[in-house]
Amino acid sequence: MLGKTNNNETEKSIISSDMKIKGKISAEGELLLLGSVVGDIKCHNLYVEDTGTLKGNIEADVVTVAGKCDGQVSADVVSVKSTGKISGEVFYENISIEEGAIVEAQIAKKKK
Amino acid sequence: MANKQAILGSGARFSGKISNAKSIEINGYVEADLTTEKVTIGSTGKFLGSVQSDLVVIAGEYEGKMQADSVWLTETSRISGEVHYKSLQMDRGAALNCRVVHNWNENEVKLEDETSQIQEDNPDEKPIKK
Amino acid sequence: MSEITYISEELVMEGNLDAAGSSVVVAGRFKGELRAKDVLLEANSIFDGNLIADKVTLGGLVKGEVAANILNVASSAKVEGNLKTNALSIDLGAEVSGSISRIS
Repeated sequence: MLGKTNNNETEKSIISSDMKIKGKISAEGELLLLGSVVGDIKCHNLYVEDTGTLKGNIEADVVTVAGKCDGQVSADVVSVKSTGKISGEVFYENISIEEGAIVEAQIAKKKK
Repeated sequence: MANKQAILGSGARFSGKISNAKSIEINGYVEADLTTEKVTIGSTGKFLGSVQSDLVVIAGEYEGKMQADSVWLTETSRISGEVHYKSLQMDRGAALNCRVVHNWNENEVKLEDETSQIQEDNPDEKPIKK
Repeated sequence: MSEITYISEELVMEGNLDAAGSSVVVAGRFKGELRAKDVLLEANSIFDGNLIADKVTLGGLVKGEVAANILNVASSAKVEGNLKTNALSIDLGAEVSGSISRIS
């Protein structure tokens, strides 16, 4: 489209806390999850807020989990906050987990 | 933090192998074979096993075969087994139920093997390790 | 209060260390079973075996199983194995591969 710069990575979408989604989500930008998603998510930055729940796989550059995730996470940077809960598998380049987080998962550094 | 002395605390119990030790203080219970430069068995320490060391100080219990250059047994020490030493200091009160062997024969034999230079120049040369 | 057990940088210990009630700091190498109240594995340490303690900080090379009430994995740590804890923190920069689970 005329005049539009191709800077999709800064696009921000919000799945608000009252939303329930079943299906695959793919975005190029940021995704803020405050509601519940059953399905896979692929995006640039994913924030699972403390009310957010995700059952499915995540593929992103940066994943921040303050809510619940159950499934496979594959990201460059994974950050699990103290309110976060992760179960499943995590493949990361860099990971940090705050005290208070609940983790029941297999984790491994991605080998490129 | 480098070169801090290794310590087995009074509440610790270890059984196994200890190697590459330089200076170690044992205040707990240890069952092991130990080769080191310096070992101190504190008054709460109990050591079972062989010790090979330059310097040994014992204020606690030792049971086993010890080969050392310089040995100091304090008044609270209790030794059973064998002590092979080059120089020994035993304080009144030390309890020995062991075989004590002085290694001066070995020392003389070793000196003969060295060049006569060393014998003349340094009669107090540091004993050669076996 | 029991004193600390310090496994110095050059020291290599292999076997069973039970320091229940006291603290252990490992700057050298340890292979086998280690039980204690608090454990710190320093940045250049190498640990291979089973570690059970109340509070643990992993800072060096760790291979095996770690079970602790409170477990912190420092940024200098490289961990391969199973971590069991109810209070976990992993600092950015740490490399961990294996399973993480809670103590039921």
